[in-house]
Amino acid sequence: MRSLGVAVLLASWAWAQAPTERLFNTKVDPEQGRKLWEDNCAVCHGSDGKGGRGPDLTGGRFRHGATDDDLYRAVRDGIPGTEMPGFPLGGVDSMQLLAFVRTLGRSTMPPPPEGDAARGRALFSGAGQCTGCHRAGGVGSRIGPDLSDVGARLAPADLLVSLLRPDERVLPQHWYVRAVTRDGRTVTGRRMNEDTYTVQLIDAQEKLVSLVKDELKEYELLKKSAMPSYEGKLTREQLGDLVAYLASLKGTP
Amino acid sequence: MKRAFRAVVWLSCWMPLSAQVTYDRLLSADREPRNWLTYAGGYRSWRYSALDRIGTANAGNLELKWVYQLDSMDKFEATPLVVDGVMYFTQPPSDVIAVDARTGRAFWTYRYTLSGTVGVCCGRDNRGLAILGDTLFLAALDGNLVALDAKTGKEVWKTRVVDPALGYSLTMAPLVVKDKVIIGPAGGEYGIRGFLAAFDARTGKEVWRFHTIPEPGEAGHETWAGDAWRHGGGSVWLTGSYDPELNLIIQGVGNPGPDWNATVRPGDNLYSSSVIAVNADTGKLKWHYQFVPHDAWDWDAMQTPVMVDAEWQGEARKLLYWAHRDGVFYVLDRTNGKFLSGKPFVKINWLAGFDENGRPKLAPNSLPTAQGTLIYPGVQGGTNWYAPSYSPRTGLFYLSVWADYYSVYQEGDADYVAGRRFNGGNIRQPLPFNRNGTLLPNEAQGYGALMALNPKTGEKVWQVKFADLTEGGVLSTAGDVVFTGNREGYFQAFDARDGKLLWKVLLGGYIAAGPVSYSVDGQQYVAIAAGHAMYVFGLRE
Repeated sequence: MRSLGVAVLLASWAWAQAPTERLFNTKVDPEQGRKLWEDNCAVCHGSDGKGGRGPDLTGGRFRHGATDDDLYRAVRDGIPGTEMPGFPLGGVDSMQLLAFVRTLGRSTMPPPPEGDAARGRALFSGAGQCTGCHRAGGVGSRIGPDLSDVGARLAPADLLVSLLRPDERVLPQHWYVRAVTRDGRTVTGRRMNEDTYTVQLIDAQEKLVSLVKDELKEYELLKKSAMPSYEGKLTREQLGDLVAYLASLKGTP
Repeated sequence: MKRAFRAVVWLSCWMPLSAQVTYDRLLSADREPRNWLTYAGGYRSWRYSALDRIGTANAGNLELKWVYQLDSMDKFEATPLVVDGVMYFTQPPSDVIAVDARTGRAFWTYRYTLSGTVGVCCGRDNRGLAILGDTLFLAALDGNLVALDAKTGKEVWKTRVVDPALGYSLTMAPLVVKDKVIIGPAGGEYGIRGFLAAFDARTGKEVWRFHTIPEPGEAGHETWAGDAWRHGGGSVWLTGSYDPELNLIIQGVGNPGPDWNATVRPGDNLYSSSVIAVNADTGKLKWHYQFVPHDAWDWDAMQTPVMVDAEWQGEARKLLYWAHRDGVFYVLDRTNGKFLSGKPFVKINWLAGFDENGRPKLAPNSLPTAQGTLIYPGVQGGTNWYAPSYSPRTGLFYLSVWADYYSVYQEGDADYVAGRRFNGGNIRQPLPFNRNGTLLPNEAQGYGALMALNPKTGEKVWQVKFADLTEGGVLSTAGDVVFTGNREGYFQAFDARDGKLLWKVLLGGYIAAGPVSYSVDGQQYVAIAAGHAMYVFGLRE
């Protein structure tokens, strides 16, 4: 119970998801990572990472170690006994490259069609049922992440990925907790705070709940999104409208 | 004769009136566990209390006895002293408070006014006091060593030791040896040149000074190039230990300056990131061991030297246990500084082993570069100044660790400007050094833990992981209880043998100090500085 049981791979994967998250105080720049990939790696591993002379890296499994450190060393020093040479990249460049490598094999989306933000807004609070979990500009539920400034954090293409492949865009600060109390009650909610012995969350009824871990039968951190995919549920035009609206949410300056 | 004298001292400890804290009492501090007479509980620095009223069976009955609220919002890192029913502690930056150890009611407060702004890397800290006779010794932040009357809090003398305008400050608890008060300066991030110095306890006059960064003509100067030694760092900001049989003060020395640009200071940069052993009467160096030659990561040797006499590979030896910021647990022979073993206790990637003399071999490509180099452990180290503990009952070494996190060390400009930061680079890392309000732990970024090591093997025996990092010092007791606090604000008691949680309380504030134990009228107490208050616990009566 004391251990959160987070696999290094999973967490750094989630951490590498967010293009605007800060990587050791440095903005992750996927374009810089892609450029480094094209310049150094694509010749063997392919532009899409699906392999060639070097192995396929799109499966998220790395035979010579999958931690940040393992990958960093593999890039820097090469892998003995294989054809993989070392690349004299600096630490920050290596980390940009690593962030890109961790995106290999995951969805890339064509940019969404130009949409209408006003129609998107109606969809957000209406048929899209977004406000059932999310809040923007003081309207909507507090269960999911507040989206009031999501347009300042994510590019339109990333917003579309979030709508269609929500599991690929979950940040550690949006992990959910699933707990089963001694009397068999299941509690699920977004983690707001946690320490060694307790966890605080907001549940589906927007109730603020505090749990003592020792008093639970089960406790786990859900690192996947609680949001359903909108694949097939909205038309391409509707998706465009919704993305246009979300992209317009820049928060209050 | 000596024995008779000690018997008198021993008896006087049980008299209702408090007796003077003689040097003899300091020498045998572990024989009067009702008191806590030095920063680390005795010259061997075990932070072990022979009190056993609180044990594994009843620690669950601990309750709050009193709280003393500070009127300072600076980080509270102090270890208190307890002398015959009176507790003395510092309130940051440099006040001193004397309270009744049973009720928490104050006898007096000494307020120290700083002479101006003092440049400090990591808070306006003070870690505690020393006592000799009826005099307390305070190393005040802005560079004065102050002697106070322990009965009244009145100044006895004040000696200017360093100049804060040049980046020097004083944060450590002094060490009293014989008739001398031993201190050194902080300021390793400000281009200082460190030293360890002894002052006459009666007059405050300086008796000797050992330069931790040797000047031309001094041994070790050849490990510096050009003028780099002038701002070479080598701070001293944590109390050392003293071996009376060898008459040696064993002291850690801080990082070289600038921290992360090591290219401007070619060479090993002695005696930075080293342990030194100096003669307590003269300050002359007997031996040294450098944990990190040419340190480029800010891994200073500001850890408490733990001295244990034990068998080492079939031979009785005077050992020195050292869990170092570089992530390695070292065992040295403290008669001569000989390296006996070094085993990592957290994930590290800078070390490629040791040569036949015990000198570490650097893994390739470990030095900082302009682009940055990813190195385990991160800049705060595998451990740091957080006081460890050694229990002679379990034979285990207990310490707070920061496990499995890295920093990207970036080399940068290293222009010295007097009184300014002299870091020579930058640090980046995913693990946040500080949390704001709430905590969303992500173990993949690293974690804090209380660890029990077998010092004979360097192997981990047990570990308790915390959601947040930990800067708590550790206390072990004859009741086989280990106490520690953490940044989450929990103060906890664990079974010293297996790490089982026995008791905990949330004190609602960051704990970055070491607990102590003492007794008054047969009742055992445990004290811990937490948040901005001193908390004291005892068994429910």
